[in-house]
Amino acid sequence: MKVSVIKKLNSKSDKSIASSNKKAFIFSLEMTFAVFLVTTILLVASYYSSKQTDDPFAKLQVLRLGEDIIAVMDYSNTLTTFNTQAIHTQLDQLLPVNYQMKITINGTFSENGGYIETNQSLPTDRFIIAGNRIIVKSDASSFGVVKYYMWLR
Amino acid sequence: MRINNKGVFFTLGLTLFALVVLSLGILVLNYSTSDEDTVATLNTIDRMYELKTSIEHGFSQIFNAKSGITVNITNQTVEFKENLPNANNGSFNTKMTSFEDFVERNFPNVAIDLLEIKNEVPLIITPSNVTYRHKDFGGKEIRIEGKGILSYKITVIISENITGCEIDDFEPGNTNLSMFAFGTFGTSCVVSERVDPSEDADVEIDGVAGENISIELDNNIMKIKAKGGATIHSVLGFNTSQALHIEYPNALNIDYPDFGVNIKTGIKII
Repeated sequence: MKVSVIKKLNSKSDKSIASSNKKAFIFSLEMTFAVFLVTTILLVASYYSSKQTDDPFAKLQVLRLGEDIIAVMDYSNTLTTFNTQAIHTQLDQLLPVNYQMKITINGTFSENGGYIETNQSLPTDRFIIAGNRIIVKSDASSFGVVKYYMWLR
Repeated sequence: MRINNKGVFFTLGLTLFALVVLSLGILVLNYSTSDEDTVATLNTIDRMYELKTSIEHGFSQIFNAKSGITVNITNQTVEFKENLPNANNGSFNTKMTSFEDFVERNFPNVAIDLLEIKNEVPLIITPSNVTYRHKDFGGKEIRIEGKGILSYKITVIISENITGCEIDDFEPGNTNLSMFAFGTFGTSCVVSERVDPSEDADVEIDGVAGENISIELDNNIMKIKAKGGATIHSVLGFNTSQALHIEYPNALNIDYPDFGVNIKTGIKII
């Protein structure tokens, strides 16, 4: 009798232990699945976020800075000297220290066969803004198209 | 095997959180795309403005260098000075045509219409909307058209003796009309009256050979006609607190069809 009770008791605790193990197993399985699901979704979310580009309004401000510099050089008649040295000198005075600019001018003037450019090289590894402007010499003898390129040093 | 309710709720809760983060990521991407479109349009408008102002500056340089017309603007007056007939019409028109061709060749999205400008050189005084023009540029007649002129001061210099000048057939009004004529050997005469510019008023300046200059004012249009050669100096007074400018009429068209941006505008020269 005692033996059968003990055997019965043992089988009950065995069942309880087995049930707990199964619960823990299921719980771990659900945790793993949840972590896997959440990680996947977060990775997709970060992928979408990373596709956002840099602030485009900041680039617009750089363009406006370039426009202002070229306009000042036009109204001070520096560009219509068609002299690269004079253009370099004023450009060095106007350009902020962390920016670089290249200027080309082509037109109906006689200096250098109607084409001059400053000696900077365009970088290949960063964002460059570009613009252009029409210029006319003060005595109306020559016209030109100024193209300018500006980038962060 | 019983499913653990707590585990299910935990899974669902975390999934919901992750979906919220994903939605935020997609929203951020959508807004940045919209920002880029806005900046692209602003970029185009900026470039259009820069092109417009540089073309205007070019036309201003040509006008000052080649037209033979001197313009001075103060707070409330605009002053024009030129010789009649204006001998610069040929070189002025040639230079204007060259510049038009140069701009349109280098910027295909720009169209310039200079027909009226080359024929009459109409100079519109803004914001008063008064026009100083020539019947035919290079001819002997100037026209000043428009209402709102407070005073006309016309100075004429001719290369013969002045024998007399008079004003007739005028209606009294609130507009000052002053005419000063200077000839050779110190001869001169003055006419000054307050007139109504909407009604007829005629001024004649006579030289040795008869009538030399006539100034006809009617219906707010003043016609200054020179029979021989003369230097005409016209000062127009305005009652305005806004800055006065000079521009050519609607002659400049800039079009960026890809961005849906287009302007047709006058050309500000002073």
